[in-house]
Amino acid sequence: MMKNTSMHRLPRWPAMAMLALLLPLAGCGGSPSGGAGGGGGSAAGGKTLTVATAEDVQSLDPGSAYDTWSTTVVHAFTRRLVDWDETGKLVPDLAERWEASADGKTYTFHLRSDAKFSDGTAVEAGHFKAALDRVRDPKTASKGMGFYSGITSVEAPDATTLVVKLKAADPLLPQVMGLTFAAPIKTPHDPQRPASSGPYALQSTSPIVLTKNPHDTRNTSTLERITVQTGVDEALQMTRFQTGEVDLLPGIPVADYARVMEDPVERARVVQEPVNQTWYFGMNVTRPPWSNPKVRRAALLAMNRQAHVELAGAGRLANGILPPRVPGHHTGRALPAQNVAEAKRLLAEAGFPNGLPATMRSVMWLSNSTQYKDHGQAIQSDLAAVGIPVELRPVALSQYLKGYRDNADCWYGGWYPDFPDAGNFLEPVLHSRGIGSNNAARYRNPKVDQLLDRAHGMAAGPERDALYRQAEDLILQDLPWIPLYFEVETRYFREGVSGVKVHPVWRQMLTGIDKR
Amino acid sequence: MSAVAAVLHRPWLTLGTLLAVGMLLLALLAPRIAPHEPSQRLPQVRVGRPAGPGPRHPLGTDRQGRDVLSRLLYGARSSLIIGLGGMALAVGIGLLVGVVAGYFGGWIDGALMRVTDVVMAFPAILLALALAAVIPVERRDEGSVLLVIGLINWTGAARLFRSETLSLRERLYVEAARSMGASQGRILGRHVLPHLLPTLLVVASLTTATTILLDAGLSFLGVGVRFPAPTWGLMLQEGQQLYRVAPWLALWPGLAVLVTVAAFNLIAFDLRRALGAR
Repeated sequence: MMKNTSMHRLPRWPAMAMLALLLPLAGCGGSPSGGAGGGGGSAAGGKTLTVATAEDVQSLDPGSAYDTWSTTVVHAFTRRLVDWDETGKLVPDLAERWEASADGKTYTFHLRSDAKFSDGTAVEAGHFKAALDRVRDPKTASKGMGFYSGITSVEAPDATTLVVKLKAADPLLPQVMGLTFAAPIKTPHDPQRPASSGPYALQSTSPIVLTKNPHDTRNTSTLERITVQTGVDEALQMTRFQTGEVDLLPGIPVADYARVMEDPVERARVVQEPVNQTWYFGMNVTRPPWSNPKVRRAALLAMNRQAHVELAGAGRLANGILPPRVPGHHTGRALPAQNVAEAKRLLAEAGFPNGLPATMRSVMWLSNSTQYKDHGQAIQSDLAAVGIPVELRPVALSQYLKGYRDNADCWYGGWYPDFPDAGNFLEPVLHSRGIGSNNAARYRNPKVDQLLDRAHGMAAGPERDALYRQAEDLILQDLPWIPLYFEVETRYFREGVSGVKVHPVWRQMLTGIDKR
Repeated sequence: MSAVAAVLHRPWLTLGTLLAVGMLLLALLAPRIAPHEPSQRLPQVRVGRPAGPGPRHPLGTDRQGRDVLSRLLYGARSSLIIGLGGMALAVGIGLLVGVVAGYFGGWIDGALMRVTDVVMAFPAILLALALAAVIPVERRDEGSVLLVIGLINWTGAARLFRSETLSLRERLYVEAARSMGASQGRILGRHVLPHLLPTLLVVASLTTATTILLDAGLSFLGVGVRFPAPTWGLMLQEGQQLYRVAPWLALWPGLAVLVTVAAFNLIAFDLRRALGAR
C-alpha cells in the first residue's frame, strides 16, 4: 500500500498540549442521573437530604405501592389512621382513638380535627373511605386488596368519624389501617399525583423529590427537601456517598463492608438492627425433583447456612421461618447443621445413589443484584456437591418478583410481614389459599391451614403463639422452604445526619431524619 | 530468503505466536493443570471475603471462596473455543462473500457489498447484544456465543478478500485466456484461493483477536456464556464491584484478555509485514 505523502501531519507537541488540557475535563463526571439534589443543601434552595437505592420505585400511588422503596416513599408523604412506634407497637396517628363493637365486627375511628393535606385542606373521614373503597375495588387490581377483603362496608357519617364493618371479627383490622394502602386520598384521585397528608409532600415523581409539608405540625425536622435517587448501583452509591452527593445509604455495599465496620470513625455513622425478614431457598413442591420430600431434606442437609450469614456481612442464622421479633417466633428450635454424607444417603434412599441426573436439573430464579447472585451461587455449589444440579437464572428485579411466583422450580428469596404478626407472615406464603399468588412453593398442608386459620382471629398471647409454633413445626418437617438467615439491616450516613433508624415495621424510613 | 526464514526473523511474530500457543496450551490442559474445580468453594476460606494470593490459591480467591487461577484457566478454554470457532465462522462467511463478490463482480458484487455495508454500519457490540438477547438463557453456551459473534464479525474479512480477489482476477484474465476454457470453479479453486492464503492467515489472526474481545465484552455485560460460568468477562464483572477492596479479581482476567488479544494482533501485524514484503 502506498503511503499517502500528501497528508499533513500534526506537529507533536501542540497535540500533546491539547490532550493534556482536555484530560481533566474528561475526568469530571457528567451530571448525575436519577435525581437532582446537591449534597450540601445549597443547591436549588433549602436543606436537602439525598438518599440512593439500587431498587426502582414501581409506583407511588398509595393504592398500588407494595415493593420496599415504593412503600418507603409513600410512607413519607402520607399519614394513616394509625402507625407503629419504634418498638413495633400500634399507636394512633391521624385517628385519635378507635373502638370495636362488642361482637368485634364494627370498628369506629375518630379522626383528629387538625389533620391537613399539604395544600392546606382538611383530611376528613371521607378521604379514608375513598382510599379503602379504591383498594377493595377489583378494578384497581391493588396488591393490597387481600388485606381488606374482610371489610363489608366503609362509611363516613361525619368529617371525623369512620365506621368500618367486617364479615367476621378481626383483631388485626386496626393493623391493616396502618399500611400505606389505607392512606387518605382525594376524590378525584390522580394516581400520578397522589395527595400528600404526611410529614413531607410529594413534589415530583421523576426524579423523586419530597418537600416539607408546612401543614404537618408534628414534623420537627429542619430538612426542607428529600431526594431519592433510584436505580443507582452499589458501587456508584458509594462513590456518590464519598463525594457528598448522597447523605444516606440504605446499606453498605459489599465491597466496603469490612472497611467501614472496622474503622471506628465510620462505624459511628452506621446503624445496624435485625429486621423481620427471613432469607430462604424456596422449592416448588409440585415439581420434580422438589416434589420428593427426601430431596428437600437432602437439600437442607447439603447447605452450609452459616456461609450465607458471612456472605451477607451481618445476619442471624435462621432457626425457623418466623424472624425473631415476630410474636410466635420460637427461640428453642434449631435446624440441623450441614451434613453432606447424610444428604447423599437421603438422595440414595430417594432413588438417586449417584445424585440426580442432568435431566432433573432445576432452574433457580434470582434477582440480578450482587447480593442475590452471591447467595444463589453459594446454594448452587452446596447442592451440586451432593448431586442436585441447579441452574441459576438471574433476571431484573421486576421480572424476578413476577417470575418466581408464576413459574419457578426453585428460587432464592426474602419474605417479611407487613406488620409484626405471625399470620401476616405465614398466610400469604404457606397457607394453601396463597397458591396462585404469594405461595410460590404451591405448598398445601390442611393441618397447617387449620392451625393458621384458628390462630388468625385470636387475641395475641401464649395460646396464639403455641398454635403458630405447631404450624411452624409442621412446615419445617415438610420443608417447602429452607430458611437460611434472618436479615440485619445496616444504614450508613454522613457526618451531620441524625435520626437514622431501622424501624421494625417500615425498615427504611425517610421521616424522623435531620441534618445539621 | 525463504518464506519460512522471513517469518522467523520477525520478533513480534515470534512473541505473538509464543503467547498464543501458550494460551492455547493452557486452555487445552486446563482440566489437568487447574489446581481446583472452578466452581468449588475452597475449604477453610472465608466466604464473603476475597483472599489475596496465598499458598493454596496463587492468584487469590473470589467472594465465593473459589480459586481465581483455576477459573482463569477454564476461562481461557471458553475464550479460545469462542475465539477460534467464532473466527472460523466469520472468516468462512467473509471468504465466501468476499471471493464471490470480487470474482463475479456486477450486480452480485453490488448486492453483497451493500449487505456488508449495512452490517458494518452497526457497532458490533450492539448487534451482538441484540442477537444474544434472542437466545434463551438456557441455551447460552460457547456454541451459541461463537455463532452470534461469527455472524457479525465477518465484514472486515469480506472486504479484504474481495479486494484481493479483484486484484487477482485482473492478473488471472491473462492466465484464464491461456487456460482455454477452464471452468470457473477450476480457476477459483486452482488459481484464486491459493493466492488468498497469506491474506487468510492475517485475517484469521486479526479476527480471532476481535472475536475474543467481543466475547469478553458480551460476557461482561451478562449476555455471554451464562452465569456463573468462569469466563473472563464474567470474572471482570464480578471484579468490577470489588475493585476497591480486591483489585486482583479484575486484574487477572483483564491481563488474560489483554495478553491473548495482543498475541493474535501481534501475529497479524508482523505476518502482514512479512508476507507483504515478499
